[in-house]
Amino acid sequence: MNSGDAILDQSAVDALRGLPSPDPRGMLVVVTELFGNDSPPLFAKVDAALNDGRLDLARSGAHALKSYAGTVGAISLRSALVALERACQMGDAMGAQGCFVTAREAYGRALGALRSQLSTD
Amino acid sequence: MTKIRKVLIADDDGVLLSVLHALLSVAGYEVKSCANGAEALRHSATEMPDLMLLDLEMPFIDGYEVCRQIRARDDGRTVPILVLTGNDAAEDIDRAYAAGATDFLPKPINWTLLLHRVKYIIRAGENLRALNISETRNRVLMREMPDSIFSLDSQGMIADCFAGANGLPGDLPRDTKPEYFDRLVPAPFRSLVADAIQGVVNTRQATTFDCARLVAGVAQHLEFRFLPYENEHILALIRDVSTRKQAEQRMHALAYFDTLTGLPNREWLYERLGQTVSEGAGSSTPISVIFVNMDRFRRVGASLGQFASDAVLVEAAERLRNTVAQLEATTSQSLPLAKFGMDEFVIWMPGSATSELILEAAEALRNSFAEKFQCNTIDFELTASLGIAEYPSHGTDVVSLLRNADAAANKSKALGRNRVSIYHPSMNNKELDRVELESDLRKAILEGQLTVEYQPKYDVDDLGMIGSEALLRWRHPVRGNVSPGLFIPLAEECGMIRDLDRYVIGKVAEDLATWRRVGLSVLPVAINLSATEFLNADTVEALLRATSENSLPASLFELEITETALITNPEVAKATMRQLRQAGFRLALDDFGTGYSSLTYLRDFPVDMLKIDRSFVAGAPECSDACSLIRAVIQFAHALQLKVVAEGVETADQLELLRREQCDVLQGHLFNPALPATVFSQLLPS
Repeated sequence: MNSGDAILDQSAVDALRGLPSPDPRGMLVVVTELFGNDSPPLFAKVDAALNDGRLDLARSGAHALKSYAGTVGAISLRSALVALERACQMGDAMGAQGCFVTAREAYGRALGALRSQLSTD
Repeated sequence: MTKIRKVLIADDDGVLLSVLHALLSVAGYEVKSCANGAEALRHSATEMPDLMLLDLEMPFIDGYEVCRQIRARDDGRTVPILVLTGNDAAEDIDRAYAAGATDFLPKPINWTLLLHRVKYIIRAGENLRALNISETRNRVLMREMPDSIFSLDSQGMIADCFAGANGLPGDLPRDTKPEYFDRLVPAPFRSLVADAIQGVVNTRQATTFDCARLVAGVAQHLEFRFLPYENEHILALIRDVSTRKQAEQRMHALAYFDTLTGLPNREWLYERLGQTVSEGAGSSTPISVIFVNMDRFRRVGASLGQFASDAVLVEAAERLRNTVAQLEATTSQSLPLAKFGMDEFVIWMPGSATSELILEAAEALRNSFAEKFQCNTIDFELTASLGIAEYPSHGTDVVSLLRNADAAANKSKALGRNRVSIYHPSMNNKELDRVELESDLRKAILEGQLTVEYQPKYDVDDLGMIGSEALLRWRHPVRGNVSPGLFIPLAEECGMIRDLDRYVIGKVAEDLATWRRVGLSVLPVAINLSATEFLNADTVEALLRATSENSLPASLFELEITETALITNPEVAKATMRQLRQAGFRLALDDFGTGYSSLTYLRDFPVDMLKIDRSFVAGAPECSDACSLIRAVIQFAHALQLKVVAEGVETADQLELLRREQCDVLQGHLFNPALPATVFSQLLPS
């Protein structure tokens, strides 16, 4: 298994690639663009909420991001967001900060991996 | 055309929303995407989708609240809501179901599975909606229908029950749920119910029956229906049909009973007597039908009015009812009594009554009318003529039995009324013929089938024509010439004689006027007047009018009347005769010798001549008695200064005899038959 394999669920990516799309470039392209455009604002909201100590808001944002990650098959990112969501639920602000950092890194890797999948299409 | 289903997706995951939108659109659904719960509610308020895909965690209004609000709406109760959740927590899923979710799908979503799930959950939703509509309709129907419905097992034990709009039958409270169905049924009908249930269990065929019971003194009619149901169960339906039964009974009363007298009517009679006859078919056991026909009942209505005649009918029915009750007590038999026509009643005696007993019964019925009737303080007598016909000797069906009993009653009338006659086959033919002839005679008057012919009368000395007798003739289009001996008495019986008399008076006057106008020397014409019309004041007026309108002297008319007219009401007859003579009419006593022939009449009544009946002339000269009588009449008439006319002179011997006995005037076929007016006029001198 290479590093890309650990980041993405290839079967999920393949499924997206096989889905019908109104965009002629294909569903994976559409999804990757949306993932790249919509996720950063959400990360910013979670970051701000953590800094303000609003763990409920942070959890909510993490939950939404987890959904994104699930849709695109970003396995490691989804795991990090699950951990972040739990930490927020448990009121563990410190743990949540750590999970957030991990999640942001995982997002970068996942987006990169998806884009590299596109370049190979 | 395939219906395009609408899917509403609500999720704050823009990536997922895009994928789902594209996927479902391509699969043929009309998709609406919403980024949050508020937007989803707004859209569904405008148009409820066929399916909602709902994320649970969304900003502003979450999926749980959307579920609750959708379910609170009438059009949202059956919409399938498929929850998309990234939460694996069981309590979140339970919460979603509690809020109204139909099913859930975990994230990340398996796209293939999603399409299948969407397809089948929409179908389930449509089935649920159809079921819901059906359920609503059934609920409304059940609420409104009058039946109480029970689900029973094969032993008649109640598994479930539903009280209809009227509640459970009888005095059972609405909530009652007895263990066994037969407890709802009056005791006498329980075995019937048990048999019905067993019958449906065995045959799986529906069955129905009615029963009645008294509830607080009022008859309650219940209709029971048993239908095969699932798992060998039975549906039992009970309906209170008391109102319908009452209406049926009312209709029955209207259809089968006379509203005036309360007696069974003709329809009832035909059915019940028909039943009795059918039961007796093939056996020799007689059934006697007694027909009671009130005499001269029409006169009651004509003279006292409709209300009085109704009251008399009610009284007559009551008297007959009492007599029948006494006869039933005496004979220990049921004797049905019915009203047949306006003034006709029928009683029949089924079974073993002897001829003596039947005649006794008929006499008892006749005697019901013995006591005078009273109406508007007027006492009057009213009798009845009765006829008896027997099954099977006088008829083997209802129609012939009634017709023949009626014919026998008519025979009683013909014999003078207020008597009982037993049917004989000869009655029927005559009666049928009479009825037909009566109908034809009415038409004859209207259609000009009647004519007047003239038979000349001759002076015995020089055989010069001195006048004629007008004779009414009826040329029937089918029967040919109908004898006056047949239709004149018929016209008297059925009240048409006045029309005939008036016709003859008018026609004679018209002919005389015509002949005078053309310069003929007219001679007196004899006209026969019926006894009843002669006594009618209108007749005198009609005669006077006929003479004046045609400018004719009354002396041209000889009015022939019978002895009957004189004895019916002698004083009126005498006054009428005086009035006519003063006016110039001449009067002749017709058919002398055949009736009462009281010579007193010749002295007391102002007549001008006598007509010896043709039966005596026919016997002469061979029959010495006839000759003696002719001689006596002529001598007596001459003694009173009356002229004598002999009619029916057919032979030279008769002519010789009448000449010898100094008869004054002769008439008969020896000289001329009755001649049509045109032929007769040729005999008149210019």
